[in-house]
Amino acid sequence: MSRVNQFFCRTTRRGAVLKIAREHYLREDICCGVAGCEPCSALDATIAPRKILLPPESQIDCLTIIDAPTAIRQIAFLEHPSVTDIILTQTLMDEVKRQSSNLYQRLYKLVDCPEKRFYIFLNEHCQNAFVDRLPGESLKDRNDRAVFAAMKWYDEHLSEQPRIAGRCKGALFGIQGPAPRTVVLLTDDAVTRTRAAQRDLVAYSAIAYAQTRFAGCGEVTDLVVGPEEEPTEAAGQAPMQLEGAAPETTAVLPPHVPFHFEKHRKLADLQVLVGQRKLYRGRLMMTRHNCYEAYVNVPTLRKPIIIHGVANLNRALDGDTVAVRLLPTAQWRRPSPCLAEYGSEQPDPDLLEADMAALTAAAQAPLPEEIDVIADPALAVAQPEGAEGERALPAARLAEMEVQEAVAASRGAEIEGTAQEQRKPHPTGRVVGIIRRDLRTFAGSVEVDPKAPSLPAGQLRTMLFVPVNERIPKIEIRTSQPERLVGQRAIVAIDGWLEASRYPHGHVVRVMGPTGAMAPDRDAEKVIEADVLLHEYGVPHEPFSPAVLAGVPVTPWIIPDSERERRLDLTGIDICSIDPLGCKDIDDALHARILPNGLVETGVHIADVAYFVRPDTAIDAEAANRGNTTYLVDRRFDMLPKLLTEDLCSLKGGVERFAFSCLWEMDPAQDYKIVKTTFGRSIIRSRGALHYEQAQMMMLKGRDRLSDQVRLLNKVACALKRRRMQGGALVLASPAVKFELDSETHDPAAVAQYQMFDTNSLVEEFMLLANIAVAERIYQSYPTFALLRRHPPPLPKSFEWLVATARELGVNIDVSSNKALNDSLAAAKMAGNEYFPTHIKMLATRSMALALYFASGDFEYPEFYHYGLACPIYTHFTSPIRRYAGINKRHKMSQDCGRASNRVQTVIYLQQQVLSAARLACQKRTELEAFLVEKAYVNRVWRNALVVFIPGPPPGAPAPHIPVPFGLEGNVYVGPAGSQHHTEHLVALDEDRQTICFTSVHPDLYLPSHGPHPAAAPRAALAPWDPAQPAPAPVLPAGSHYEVRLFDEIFVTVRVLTGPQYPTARFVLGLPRYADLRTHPDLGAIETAAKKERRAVAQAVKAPVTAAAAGSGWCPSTPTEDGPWLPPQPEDGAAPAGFVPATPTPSPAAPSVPSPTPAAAPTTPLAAAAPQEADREMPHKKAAATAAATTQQQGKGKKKSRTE
Amino acid sequence: MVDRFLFSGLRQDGRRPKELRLIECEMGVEPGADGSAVWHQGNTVVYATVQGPKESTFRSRNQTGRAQISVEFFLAPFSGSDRRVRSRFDRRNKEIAQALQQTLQTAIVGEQFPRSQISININVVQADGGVRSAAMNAATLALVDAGIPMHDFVACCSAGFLQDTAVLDPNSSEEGAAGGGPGGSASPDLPVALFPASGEISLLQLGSQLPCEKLADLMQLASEGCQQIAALMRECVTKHVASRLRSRETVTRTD
Repeated sequence: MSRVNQFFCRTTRRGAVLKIAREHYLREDICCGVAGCEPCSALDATIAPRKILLPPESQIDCLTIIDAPTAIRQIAFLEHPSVTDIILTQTLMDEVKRQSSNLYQRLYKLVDCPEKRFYIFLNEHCQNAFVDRLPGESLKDRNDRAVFAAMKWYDEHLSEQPRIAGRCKGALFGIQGPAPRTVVLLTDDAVTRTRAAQRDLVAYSAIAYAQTRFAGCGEVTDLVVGPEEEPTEAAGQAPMQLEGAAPETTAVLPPHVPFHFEKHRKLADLQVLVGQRKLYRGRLMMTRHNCYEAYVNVPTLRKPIIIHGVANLNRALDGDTVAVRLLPTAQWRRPSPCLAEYGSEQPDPDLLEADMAALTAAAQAPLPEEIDVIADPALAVAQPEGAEGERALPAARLAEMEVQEAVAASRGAEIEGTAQEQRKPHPTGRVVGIIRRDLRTFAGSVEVDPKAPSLPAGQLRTMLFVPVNERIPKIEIRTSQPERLVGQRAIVAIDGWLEASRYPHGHVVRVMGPTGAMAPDRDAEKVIEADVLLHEYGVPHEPFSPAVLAGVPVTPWIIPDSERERRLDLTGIDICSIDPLGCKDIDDALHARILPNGLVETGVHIADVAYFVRPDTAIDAEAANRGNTTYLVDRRFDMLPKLLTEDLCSLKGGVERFAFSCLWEMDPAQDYKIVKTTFGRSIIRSRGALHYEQAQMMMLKGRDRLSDQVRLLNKVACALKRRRMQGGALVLASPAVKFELDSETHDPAAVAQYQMFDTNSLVEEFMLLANIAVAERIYQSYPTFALLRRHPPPLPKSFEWLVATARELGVNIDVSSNKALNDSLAAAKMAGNEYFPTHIKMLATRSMALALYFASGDFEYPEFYHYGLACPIYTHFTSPIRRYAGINKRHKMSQDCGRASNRVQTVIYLQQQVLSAARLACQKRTELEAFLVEKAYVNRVWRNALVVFIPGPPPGAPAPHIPVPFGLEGNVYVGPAGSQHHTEHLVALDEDRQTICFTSVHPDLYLPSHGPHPAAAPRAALAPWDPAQPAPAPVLPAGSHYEVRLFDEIFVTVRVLTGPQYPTARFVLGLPRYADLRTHPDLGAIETAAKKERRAVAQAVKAPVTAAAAGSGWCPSTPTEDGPWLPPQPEDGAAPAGFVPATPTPSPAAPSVPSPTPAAAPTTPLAAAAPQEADREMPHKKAAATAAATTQQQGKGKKKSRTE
Repeated sequence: MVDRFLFSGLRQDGRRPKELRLIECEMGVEPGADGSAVWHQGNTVVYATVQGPKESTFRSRNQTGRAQISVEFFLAPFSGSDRRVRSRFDRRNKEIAQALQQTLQTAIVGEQFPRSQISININVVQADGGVRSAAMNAATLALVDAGIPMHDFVACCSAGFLQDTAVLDPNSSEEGAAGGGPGGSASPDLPVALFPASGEISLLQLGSQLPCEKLADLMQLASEGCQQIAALMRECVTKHVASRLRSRETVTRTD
């Protein structure tokens, strides 16, 4: 073993330069990794490699080595299962690690996978393959030499073993000659290839290699990233033509605009400039509502830097670490008041124009020199001198003070109030370079342009890929098989972003499956969409590995006697569990009984998962990695293997299970004050796994012992709750939002109107009690490393806007303490808006900080406080089956994923319901578009949009129509006349009051106003939409003003878009018009009709067709999109006549065959109520029922043809 | 795991977990001192010089029937990667000096020199981890060089614990690596000094948290390291003595 010392310099964060000497040992005992190599297998077994290359069994007859830049570019190719047997050098691993930890992990995963047979050759520590960097040599040159040396080493090493060398002929790659050459180099760098040739080594580019090795396998060769386009210096002068891509690329932009981003600076320069405080370094975070605006948080500035617009973003993507140059203070601005639309090109017209101008200018202007940066005082910013004594230049110091002052000025004096502060501009900057790309892959689908000319198959074609993630721009991909992508969900990786390109370019990593209109059925679509979500939220969902499953106990599991002796035997007590209906992972059970001494004993029994999941086992590691069970609407991804989740750990009724019990003795005379607390491991036998509703019924009516017990539990729970509320606990859990507090709803995805019973609250109280008791106990035993959970109080700033807006409405919200907040929220009422109390609680919840796990040693006791629960100490002791306490990030991701899943499911459901109903009435399936009109509440007001929340029908209420949009949130875009979202002319947005003011209303548009306004009348008339009632005449004259503000109740249309032009089902919200309302289908009937259709198909019963009855009172009106609205003519007698406009449509009384619905019509009305209902309610519906029968048959016929 | 400490079975510098760094040592490097030695362990370089036994400077301090050892420990400002001047009263230096003093006190046969003192001066020229054990070994060799009677060598070696792997002789980057200890605390570093002949442990220090069950493994590993070091020391002493003897011969012959 010999040694060389490596010297290198490192810059610290403060800019000081350290010279570091590091020992570097070179050894002889490095394995080559080739199977059957005798000298290597003779080495110590512990150092022998686990992975081995197999030249004879693999498709090729020589070894393959790859260099770092190529491995980074071609990671998707390397990840393909059929690409095996590759040597990775240590040089490569070091380089990859330096560039991206994400890629490094992906590469390491390949090395860990035994089937891939990737082997890391430790060339850096190999005596004969080590290459020292020569003075003045670039790192790339040195790495090239290192790879060549590794190749030479292999040649020499294997030539000593003729048996192996004989197998490495390399005929496939045209290796010839007497010299033994056993390795082929895979590199995309032409220079490297030339150098290899000079050294008599064989090198191939990735594409050539793939075509040679995987000839005829398009699936693999498609993954190879094509040759890099060399950025041309002349690109600024003319729009750059991408090689092989073509009209599509240029068609994106007007051809006359020379589109060019500012050149990125070199990484080395960036680091120097950041060190000199001339640039700021930070992680770029796109705002959620506007993908053209981002923030960079910089520790030295008190406000984040805003990066606004495409030109300033300069190709940076969400999550990248970037270097930012501040713009002059004159150009600082406020966060945009606009909302960008998903997939839209024009978020904000003036912004895009400005961008274009900037980009055009950038195309002509030379790259600003370093000197410019220094000359501009606003850019040269230094940090205040640290204790270590940073020597900043006087000029830089001056400039620093100026910027600090400007930042301070922009913050505004606190006394001015936050509203004013918000109006001050933020520091604004431009990205000048990307320090580290956040290389993720994105799920989405390709955009289909119906106008695009169809190219012959096999030719490379550029397509735009729209990621699901709204913060990521569209991605240009090139493929030879466009048909493989259309209508499919796919995962795409971004390869780069050229200066002259509007979009980043990437390649398809994996096709997930068909979706939207292409999906064979809704279930398949749901599965694919769930996959998309799991990928986007990074939820681990692979099946459990064999190593994990090996740790699961064998099935006929019997309680060992040794455990019986150790544990408290509670099998004699009547214990029961209360969970949601259908819950299989029951992790808690309860009991209560009256002791002989008059005290009440209550107990919480939590599944003893720790008995089965021991620390430092594969199961434990996997559970920690998963973090918790993820609940999607229709599927569950367990944290623990199924046997544990559903059987051994689950406290099922009637079987003996291990539990961890907390027992309290409470004194009923003192309002159930706790007299004594006991903890212990136990064995229990649950008397029954109840569900909430069942327990509720037992509590109210039951006569058995268990019912008495539930009643006793409830009594205690009420006392506990009362005490907790007095302490100031928040009641924020609105029926529509699920969050931390209700730890016992086993369905986090239930953003739905979850029906709460008293028993829910009962279980919750006991779980809180147990968690608090355990928290106190573990803190007592482990003062420094007890795992606790705290909820910091919210920042007053995050509540400002809510308080200010509420004050406008005459509602006072006191945020001084949690109790004050709770009381003021409870008292919040607004006349005429019954949803307001829930709504304001919901918005308050969103302004809260997140609760976090922590170790007790990290904080002082007062900081342990849980704000939401108003308890001084708290932990997560309950729900061990589905939650690995202590992992902050995963929990949030999993919850978000569950929520997103709910949204997707809702859309799919909507589409199914509405469309199948509409399909009954309308034959033209391709043109389908249907919508509902729903009551919504304004969550947020933007300049070009309203964010609304549709709560759906209140819980328990019989749904009058399709039970839709539970908890659906969306944007209603509004814009000036002529824009895409032509609604009306916008006058003003008052951001502080969260009010938007409209004027010159389209006469047809229905908008409720605030306050005394003529629109009040239609609102009242429309609220419960009853088709039997004639629509009221609009009383809004054109040109009138009115306002929509936060908390307002408005009506919105929910349109479901589907069809080949939409990658997947989407919903679009809009403001309803009278025409819409007029043609709005009877929603109750739709559902019945849909059901009937299914039944009819199932029974294959032919309904009599009556042509005469086909046209009913619900005959389609033909409203044109922007046609003048004609007030309905009230007719006597038949109620629905009011809906038929006196336009060219046939009279409702006249029987006629329905005319084909024009494409412009949003939907065709239909009626298909059950005949008896129609009889009871409206005589006219009898005819409608027959009409429905007709359509049933038509629907059926269609279904048949489809299956054929 | 983002940062793998062990890369395909090798540590960052290319050693296997249970390998020592390269060790070079020499005795009698400082002609002015009664005894001296230099100890290179990887990039850690420590000079030790011994003065004495001599009369106690403060007689009142040592009225015992044994020789007292006093240790002064200096870390050169240029020894680390950043230049840093430590005061004479630096707590860490004091603590190391005390550990050395207490350990070496037990090793020497002090009864032979009542009311006297032996002062040891340790100078760390380069610090790259394992300073404490390198200083101990250098001091031992310097004592041997000074001809102080000792019961046995004091061989010292540290073992650390990094990401579930016990490693011998961690260098400074391994010592500073976070995540070794529970809860991401600094990695545990356990210097062990022992008398190689008897295997008796005379120093055992641990400044960070370590699961109890791992302690025995680490001690075992460190002890093995100590034995390897003791062998090197013996070799060094033999060589030194041989060369001394040779030089004596030449001197005699010239006489």
